[in-house]
Amino acid sequence: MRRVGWTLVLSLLLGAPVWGKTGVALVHGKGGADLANPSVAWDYWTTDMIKAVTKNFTVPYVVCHYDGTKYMWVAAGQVAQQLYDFITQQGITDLVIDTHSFGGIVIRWIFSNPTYDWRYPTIINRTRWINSIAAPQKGSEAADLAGTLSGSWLVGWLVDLVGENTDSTRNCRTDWMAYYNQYYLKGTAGRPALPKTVYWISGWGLWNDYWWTFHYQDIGLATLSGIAGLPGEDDGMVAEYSARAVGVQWFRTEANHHHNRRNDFRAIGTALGTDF
Amino acid sequence: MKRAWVLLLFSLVVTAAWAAEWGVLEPGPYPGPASPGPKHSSKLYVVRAVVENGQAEVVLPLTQPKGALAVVLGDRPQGAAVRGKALPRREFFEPELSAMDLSPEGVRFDLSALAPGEQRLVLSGLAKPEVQIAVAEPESPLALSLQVTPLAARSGEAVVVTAELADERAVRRAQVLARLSNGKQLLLRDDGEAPDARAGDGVFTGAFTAPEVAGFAPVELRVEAGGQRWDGTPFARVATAAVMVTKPASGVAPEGVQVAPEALAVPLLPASGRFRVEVLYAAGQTAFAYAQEEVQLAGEAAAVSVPRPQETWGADKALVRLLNLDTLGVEAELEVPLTPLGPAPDFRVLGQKAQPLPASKAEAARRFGDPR
Repeated sequence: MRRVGWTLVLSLLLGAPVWGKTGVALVHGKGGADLANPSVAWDYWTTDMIKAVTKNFTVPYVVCHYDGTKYMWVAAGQVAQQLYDFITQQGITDLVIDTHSFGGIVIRWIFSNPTYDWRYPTIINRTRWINSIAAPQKGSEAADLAGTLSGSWLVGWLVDLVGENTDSTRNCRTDWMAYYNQYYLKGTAGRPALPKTVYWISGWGLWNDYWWTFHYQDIGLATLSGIAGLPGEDDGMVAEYSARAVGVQWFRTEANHHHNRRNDFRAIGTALGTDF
Repeated sequence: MKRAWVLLLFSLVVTAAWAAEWGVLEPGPYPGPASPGPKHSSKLYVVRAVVENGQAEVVLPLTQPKGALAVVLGDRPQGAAVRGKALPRREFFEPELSAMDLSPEGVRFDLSALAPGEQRLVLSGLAKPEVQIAVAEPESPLALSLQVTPLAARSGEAVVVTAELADERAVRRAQVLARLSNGKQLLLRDDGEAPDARAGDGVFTGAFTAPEVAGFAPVELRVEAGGQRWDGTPFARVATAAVMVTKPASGVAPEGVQVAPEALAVPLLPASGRFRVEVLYAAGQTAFAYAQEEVQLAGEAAAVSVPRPQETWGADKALVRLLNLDTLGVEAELEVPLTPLGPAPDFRVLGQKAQPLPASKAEAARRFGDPR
């Protein structure tokens, strides 16, 4: 009895909630509007990844799903509702947020602007930390390339061939991220610190499927890396300098942008699961 | 006494302010008002051609074929040849590319075997009536570096576009044209006439006036450069950038920012909406602290009091920013000189904040990381 009492006292003193409940949220990156569909968001991560992150589904979890074509603050509104519901309905007091790519920007918007939305403070207060995989924190030269090749500069039917950039791709351009980093986001050099720690994982590999049938996918990423002029090392979509611009280094991975949101080429999900 | 009176007055008229916040920054370069956008370095150009009978012919100016690629996105040419000799071809399909609004399918041709200079490339087996070819020359010494100043402009302010052509030696002849997303064009010059700083240095400059926008909108630029290198061989480059333009709904009132030991009082013009006043405190060229306050206005003027805690008293200047939380524009940005009320902070101490990994994460990094 005395031991229980001391445990209670110590827990209170150390700030660890005795009846705290841990949960994990996964926030995907940009893509199509159909990412607002829960099953599409699930497939983005894959079952193996979610299973690894949640330790065989034993840790309460939410797989956020938002329209992958929208600006970060629009996406953040959708994500915030899902996080808020998860936290309040399940009594989560110790939330770990795992993000991939643009998902890291969406979450950084929430944590940078706590007064922007009434749900944000609850989310921030209940979060332990954020694990950010390959987030284009300073933008992506691949998004710049999409702008260079986009239909907005063209006339006639060629516009249909290359298409128009979505809001989320514009959001990921290096100029746009430089602007938001300078004025509206926290966490980069010279800016206020984020209220919770971000641990980054950056990717430097391209040729993950060299010996497999999907080698042509590697060629796609390597080609993009080459023509977009991604500086330094990169994962095919996001240069490491950009992924490392916010937070504390966790680790680098050879998994490319295709694989670093999955638990296949490298055990990224198992690594994330070590938080629990 | 006068300062105290002004502050008292301001404290009475501050309207619906909340969320005051301040903190120490990891010391970093002081950005100053009107700071430039990022530099975009490009060794890329794009050519287009009409397709006839499944074939298209384009002229590629090559400066360094080694490692160079010609990439066709959104179509699958069956072959490419120069002077009848086929180029190595690889198809790809990467769904990830569609996340960046790029076609997930395409074909790349290796240009390494070609000689520098103009090369006539014939593509065959094309399905679409027109083709766009992106050519990257990653090992070329010739790069176009594009930068826009400022990154954040107000409607009516001047925006300077700088495009530097860096090569082994100065380019012999070049034309550098900026196309703006509002349909206007701007010829950049290297003639030493303002805004160009020096004639013939390979830095081409031009300026335009930030247009009227509805609240806040980017103006995008696509800069195309072409001409002859020092040895007469042709070249082409393209790069894009953007300037973020705000049509201010408010602003800092003409009486300016009032400085007191404990706070800065920032008078705002009448406006409606949510605003954030942010202050960066700096000593010399090092920013080391910040403070901010938010205010909701409904057509009235306001004076916003932003904290100036003792930790900032070593600052000799403050960068005051007025941000519009509805449009996400930058309404105003101005530098306010401060009389230091204390010594400048020891930046070496402030900078020593390396955060160790929690033990579980350190172990996971050892197990799952791929350092090299």
